[in-house]
Amino acid sequence: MKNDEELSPLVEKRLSWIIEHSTDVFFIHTIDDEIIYISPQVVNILGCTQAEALVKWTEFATDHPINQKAVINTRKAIETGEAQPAYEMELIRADGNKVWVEVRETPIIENGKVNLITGSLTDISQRKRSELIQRTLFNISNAMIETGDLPELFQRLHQLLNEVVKVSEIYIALMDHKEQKIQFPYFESKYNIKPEPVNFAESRGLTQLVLEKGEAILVDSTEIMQLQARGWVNLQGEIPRQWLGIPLKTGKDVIGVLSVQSYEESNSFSADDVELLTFVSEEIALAIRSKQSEKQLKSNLREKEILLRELYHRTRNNMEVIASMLQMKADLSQDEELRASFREIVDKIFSMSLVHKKLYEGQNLSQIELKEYIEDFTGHLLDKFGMSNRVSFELSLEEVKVSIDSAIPLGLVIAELITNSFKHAFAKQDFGKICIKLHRDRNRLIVVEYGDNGQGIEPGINLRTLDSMGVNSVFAIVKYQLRGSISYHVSEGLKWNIIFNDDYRETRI
Amino acid sequence: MAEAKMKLLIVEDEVVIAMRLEVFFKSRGYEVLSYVTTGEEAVTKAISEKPDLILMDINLNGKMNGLDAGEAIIANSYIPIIFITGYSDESYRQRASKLNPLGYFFKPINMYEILTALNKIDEK
Repeated sequence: MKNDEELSPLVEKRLSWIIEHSTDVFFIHTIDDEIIYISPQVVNILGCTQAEALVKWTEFATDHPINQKAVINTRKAIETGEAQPAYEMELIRADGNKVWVEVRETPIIENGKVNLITGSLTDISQRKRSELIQRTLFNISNAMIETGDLPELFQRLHQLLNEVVKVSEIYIALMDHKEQKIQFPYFESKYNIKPEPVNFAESRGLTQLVLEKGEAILVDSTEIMQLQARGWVNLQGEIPRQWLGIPLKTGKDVIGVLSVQSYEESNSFSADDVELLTFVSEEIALAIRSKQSEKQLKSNLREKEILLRELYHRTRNNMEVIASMLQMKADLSQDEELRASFREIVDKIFSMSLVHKKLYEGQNLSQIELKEYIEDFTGHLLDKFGMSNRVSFELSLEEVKVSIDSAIPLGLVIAELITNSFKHAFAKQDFGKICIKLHRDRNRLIVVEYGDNGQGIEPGINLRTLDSMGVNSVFAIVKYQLRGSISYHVSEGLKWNIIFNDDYRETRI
Repeated sequence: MAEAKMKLLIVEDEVVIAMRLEVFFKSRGYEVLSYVTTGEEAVTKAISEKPDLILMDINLNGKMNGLDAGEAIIANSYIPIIFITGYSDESYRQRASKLNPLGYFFKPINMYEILTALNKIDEK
């Protein structure tokens, strides 16, 4: 076995290979932060020679707040003699560009105290950039969900982009393919005023160029002048130092342009900025397209609601006209029986027209609140029959919503029962009372209990077989239309019990 | 007494409903002017015929609705108005109340409700 002295040149050579061929930079600095050794790869990460890098390491640190951690960790390593966990730093290269590194360092202890710090730097700029892009994409997709409308979305996009690229001068142009116009729905600039929509064919701006080519364009003021001189573009307003336009694409469609401009030297766009904005532009286009579709959907839905309300209103109006014709005929007739028949029909028409009124006046276009309906209906019939002084209603109604398909037949049934009470029940008494109860039972079945305190029916009379169109219709409607059950009994007046299910109905509207 | 009863103007764009109002009030001795169906006609007729009372539907065909017509009529000379509407629209009611109407009734029209309001004027 060879001893350490003999191995030394080989070990040194191997170590030198590792150091020279590693992508990381290795360094040694004093406890006063002076770098006394740095490996040759420094030229790749910091853009300077080994000799140029022999300064205090703090000179490479930018003013990014994260760098505070570096100072704290290094001090702690010196004080405790223990290696600290790896940390991230933002450094400045010799060419002024910034670079992200991960730092791993270990204190070297000689004679019981820390004399030097040794460590390595790993370039993590690509990873940081990917993280930034991922975060920005995530934020854009969140903005799409969280914002209410397009102006709010544009505002949020501006804020998000400002976090990754300094963009104080920005606009979003959208192509209106139908009108063949370029619109500028978002325009933030201290130097130029928001342009009016321009015809695509007549526009000779940079925006139109990006829309046409479908590719990003980054030009400086000299190049803009050259384009102007050649007559390729004709720009209005103040010319920026740099103009960057990114097409907003969804699939193959170019829906618009995201443009940022720089008017100050301190604020220039790098190739990285162009790459980043290009990368996120598709997500931006998607967010805009989605918000546009959402707006269109809301507008369509609103239009349909208006149409449906109008339809309910017109249906009700038509019923009113029919009722008026019958009423007029009744008013002109001397035949009391005919007049009474017409009045009954008019009441039935009213019971149906009231459902339509409740539908067009309500929030829900497919259901009505039965409680309100019965309250309005009974009030109307009392006035109509001039019975306010003779009959009172006692209503005990829970809130129950039903579809139009149940409300119409139930209204007809209640109209018939009330008419019958008015006509027959109270013939032998001065005052009468009608009770109506409404609730849903534990099986969600709707239960209507109707009862008057009149004279009831004569013993032996079976209402189910009675020769009366009105009463027959009550049984038939409950059985065949409401698909429910109906029963009656006499107990201090005539009492009815109706049970039906509204939940099984499919929503048709 | 029927002979002394008022002269009514009916403004209603649903002709059947206008006819029904006409038949009903004529049969009760009121003088009913031939009905009109637009707000513009209502203003013209109110000025030329000077009815004692106007039964005015709010939703009318044409540019003027019943409230517009009512405002134009009141601005010219005071004629009591009873508004009739198919809509429970609070903004309508508020606007109508500024004209201090004799009544504000909802469709379907309850003739006896209107008759009661008319009787009150008759009594005065």
